Amino acid sequence: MAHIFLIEDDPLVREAFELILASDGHRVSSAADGASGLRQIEQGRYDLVITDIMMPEKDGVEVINALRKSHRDLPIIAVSGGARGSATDYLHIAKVLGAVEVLSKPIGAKELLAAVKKALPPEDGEQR
Amino acid sequence: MRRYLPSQKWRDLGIMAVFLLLMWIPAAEFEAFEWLHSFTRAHETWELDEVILLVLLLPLPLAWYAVRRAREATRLSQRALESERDLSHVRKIDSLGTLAGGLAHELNNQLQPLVGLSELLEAETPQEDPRRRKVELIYAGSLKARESVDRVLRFARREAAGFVVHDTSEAMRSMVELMRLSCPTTVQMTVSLADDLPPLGMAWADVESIAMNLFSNAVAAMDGSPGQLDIRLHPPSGPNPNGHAAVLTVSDTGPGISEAQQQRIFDPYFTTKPLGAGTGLGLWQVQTLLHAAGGRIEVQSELGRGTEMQVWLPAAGAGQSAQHVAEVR
Ligand SMILES: Nc1ncnc2c1ncn2[C@@H]1O[C@H](COP(=O)(O)OP(=O)(O)O)[C@@H](O)[C@H]1O
Ligand SMILES: [Mg+2]
Repeated sequence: MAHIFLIEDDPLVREAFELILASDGHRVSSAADGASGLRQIEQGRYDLVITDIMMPEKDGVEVINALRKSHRDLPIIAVSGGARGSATDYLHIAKVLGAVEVLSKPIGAKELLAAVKKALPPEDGEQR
Repeated sequence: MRRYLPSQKWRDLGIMAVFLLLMWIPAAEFEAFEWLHSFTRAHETWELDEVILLVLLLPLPLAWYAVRRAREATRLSQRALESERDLSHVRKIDSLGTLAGGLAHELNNQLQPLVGLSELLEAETPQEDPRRRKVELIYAGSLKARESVDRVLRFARREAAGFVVHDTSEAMRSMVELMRLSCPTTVQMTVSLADDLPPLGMAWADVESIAMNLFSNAVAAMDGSPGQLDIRLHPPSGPNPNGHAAVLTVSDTGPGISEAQQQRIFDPYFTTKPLGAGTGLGLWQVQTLLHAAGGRIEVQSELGRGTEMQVWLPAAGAGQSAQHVAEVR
């Protein structure tokens, strides 16, 4: 399947996401903050990035901004624990900045896997 | 608020008695009544008795009038007191919202392993497995908890979105789309937004609440009859000593606001709308938000022609990253 990079500061949430993604056969690498996440993404090749929005140090909005400049074609999914469905939450901003998919925590397993499938370019999903 | 203290009441009564005495002593001394008597006898044809009678009766209606005014003053000051209480209530809810928003955000993170993994586990547990029901109940419970947090977050919505956006023009564009959807068909809405406006020095939720207030006031002013509503967001034209980032203009072809009312529309609780329709807090809130952030609002209106509200929005200061964000207030 795909190689996914996950940036999430909460260790419980991070491992939960990893388990869900692994259950669908994805390979997952992860970082606990935006800065080290960006460094690792520079060094590897990934099909998709999933990033939390509210993190200490470099937050998700900055991660998306940086990735939009350096990796134009890398799809990004943004997740946040902010208000669901309000017009002005952080996720709205992530969408404006170029995240292909935005999800509010807590996210169901099926919901997350469906979003990943949708975000991945179609050939990638078939080949790997 | 000034209260009429009992001690003041006795002092005033004392002053009144002294006054009466001071007037009465010379009157008695110079035998004013004798003089008045002979004067009225001398000029019988002037009907002076009736006039004097009138003057003697005057204190009664005067006293009634004074009592009425005093009652009204008491009522007014009581209403002002109540308003103040309401306001502090509003403020309390405000900080409660901030608290609730923070707590809800944390809970949403903590619920993530529960919601995500119990769903996964449920899918991985065969129907006939005796543990299946247990997993189902954990999943159902975590979904219920998510719903509860959602409810709290909706309440805290305004606080939860204390964000400064980096692309003002783009954010404004999506807000205007929302306005279009809620604009009545009788009103023709035109929009003009400048591109590449600098980031604003206030939370976007506040900008939104300002714009939405002006928008809903304009729509309400036209009250279902055909009209024109213009929304513009442009860089300040002309001198800009305070370095404002942009000027938001909302104008309508409603009935306009009289000079006298223009003085009062920003006062809390000033409304011309019927009970239940208006709170009178809209423009007050707009002005409070603007003053706190270093912006300002001006009203231009002509009766029968319409109203134009101009809002000078502050630019992001040195404290805020021009790139984007500020933390929740
Ligand atoms: N665009 C407008 N046209 C005419 N009157 C207005 C307009 N905007 C505000 N007003 C007047 O100002 C009053 C106060 O407005 P506001 O503070 O928003 O409270 P509310 O809308 O709840 O009455 C309104 O009741 C109305 O009389
Ligand atoms: Mg209003």
